[in-house]
Amino acid sequence: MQEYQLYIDGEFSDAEGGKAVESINPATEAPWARVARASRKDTQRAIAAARKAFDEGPWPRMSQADRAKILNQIAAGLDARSQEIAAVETQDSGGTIRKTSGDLMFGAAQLRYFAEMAEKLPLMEEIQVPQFPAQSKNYVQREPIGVCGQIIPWNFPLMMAVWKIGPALCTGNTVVLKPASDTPCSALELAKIIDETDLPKGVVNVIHGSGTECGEELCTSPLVDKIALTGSTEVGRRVQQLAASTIKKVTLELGGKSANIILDDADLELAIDGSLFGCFYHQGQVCESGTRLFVSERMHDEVVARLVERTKLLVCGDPMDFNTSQGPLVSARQRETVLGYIQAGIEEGAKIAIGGKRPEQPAKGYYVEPTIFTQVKNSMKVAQEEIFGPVLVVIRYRNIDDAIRMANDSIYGLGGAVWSKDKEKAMVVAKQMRTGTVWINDYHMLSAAAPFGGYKQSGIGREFGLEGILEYTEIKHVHVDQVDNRAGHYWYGALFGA
Amino acid sequence: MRIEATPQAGDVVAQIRAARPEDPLTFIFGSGCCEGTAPHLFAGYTLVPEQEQVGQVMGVGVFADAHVRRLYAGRTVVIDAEADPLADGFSAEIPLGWRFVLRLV
Repeated sequence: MQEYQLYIDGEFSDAEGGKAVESINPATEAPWARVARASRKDTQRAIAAARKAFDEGPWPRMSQADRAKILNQIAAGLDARSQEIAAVETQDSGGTIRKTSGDLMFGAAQLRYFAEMAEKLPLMEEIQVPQFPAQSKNYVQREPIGVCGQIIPWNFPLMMAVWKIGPALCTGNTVVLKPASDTPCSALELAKIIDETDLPKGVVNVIHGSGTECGEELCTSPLVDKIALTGSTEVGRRVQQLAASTIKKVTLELGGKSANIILDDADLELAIDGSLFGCFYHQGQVCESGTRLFVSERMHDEVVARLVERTKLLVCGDPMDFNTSQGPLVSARQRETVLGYIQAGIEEGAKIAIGGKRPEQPAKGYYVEPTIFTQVKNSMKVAQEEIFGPVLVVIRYRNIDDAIRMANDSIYGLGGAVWSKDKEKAMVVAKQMRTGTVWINDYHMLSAAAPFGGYKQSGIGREFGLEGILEYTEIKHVHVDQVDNRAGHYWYGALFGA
Repeated sequence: MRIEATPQAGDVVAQIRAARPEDPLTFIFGSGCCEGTAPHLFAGYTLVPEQEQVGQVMGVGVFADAHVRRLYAGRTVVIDAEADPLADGFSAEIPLGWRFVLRLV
């Protein structure tokens, strides 16, 4: 069985009292790794290491070029061990080896983007201000925030670690990263790679533990300056409340129930496969999945028939096999949640067009068949709640205004798509969607160079792009007087008199 | 919606109250994503205006927002507890090796 320790202050160590838990392979339902489980005290140890590395270490004061060099070292390490770590993540999370191999490739590329931005980012810019009453030169200086607590979910364990660590390091911060309890192993493999680079000790710390102990400590510790969470909306609300006690900077990437609108003039061959990719990729365990599919009354029956035909090709199987398109869900807990939603859909009167249960094969593993519901109203539970499983609901619209109204009738606003041969028409629809990302004739194509985040209860702040990187900076205004003598500072008269 | 609790859930709540007698506790429900509408037990939680009390478990108020109240209107929601050493999230039972779950009857 694989063994993993916590990574704190540049050392791999056991948790307090030697506490460890077994990580379960979702395809076999058997333990496959044993992972140290951090306590509140272990978290405090990690925070202290990150604090010391920030306050006393070379990292925040290092040149941008040197920081870029180290980020590129981490990227090269990921590339060198990509297949090995992809296999680790598949066993830990149930994500197919196709998906985890892609994640490793994208993860390394994203780190290279952050390395490039570390060099390009203008850390000091002169700004123009009115020269009255003072005459001055003015600068905006961007500085690292400090110690960043980062909490990530189980759906993209390695890539989310990169999404969090990358911008934080790019701008000179130090980090305590808490991967999800179900999927800690690939982030701890990343820690091994980091340990072999020139990154100073204590800059990145990786701890495996519960939100209640480690997460709460990160959110409330006065030694932590920023919290970044990817997780559920309810946990996001809790994180904000806890972080309020010390007025931390908070960025949140939360849930979604994203709308996918097929217009009548869409290329259906593309739109059908794209919509299935948008919903069933990684068994639907993706926060910006297009889980609500809006189709016109006129196109409905043809679209559903074609969706069902193409879904028949998606077979559940061993996630380590490159031929498998659908792996298991991450845990028995998640499978029960998804099956509960499917039951709720049936009880509310929706009809299953395909799927709807555990597959007969594989006999072991937390599998759920890709499931399509029709006769769904946008007010139903299956249309309003994020299921986080392979469940697509098809909703009819009368006209495009009706589709946009229903698309926006959600507490979330994270992703979404429009399918049309007329891209200008699709742009008009996209503009009216209250959501952080809209794809036109595609889905899931995020870029490290483009901002990603949510409207409404899908989050606060952005990841990726310049906007995402700047979330990891404090902004300092520096005013340099150009009058150069006391007599010219006549506004001091407000205190001393004329 | 009506709230009930299994004896197991009541026992876990009692353990938490014994461990942190000073902390005001509140049950609320999730709104989808990773945990579905699972119950969360938080200490020192600040309720938002749309969360209304829908019941109590061992003297701990159970609150639901309008979305959850609409979903479970007319239903009985049972709060249960399952042993789960790998549970995540911020709910108070997790360090004790338990996880609260929602069951409908």
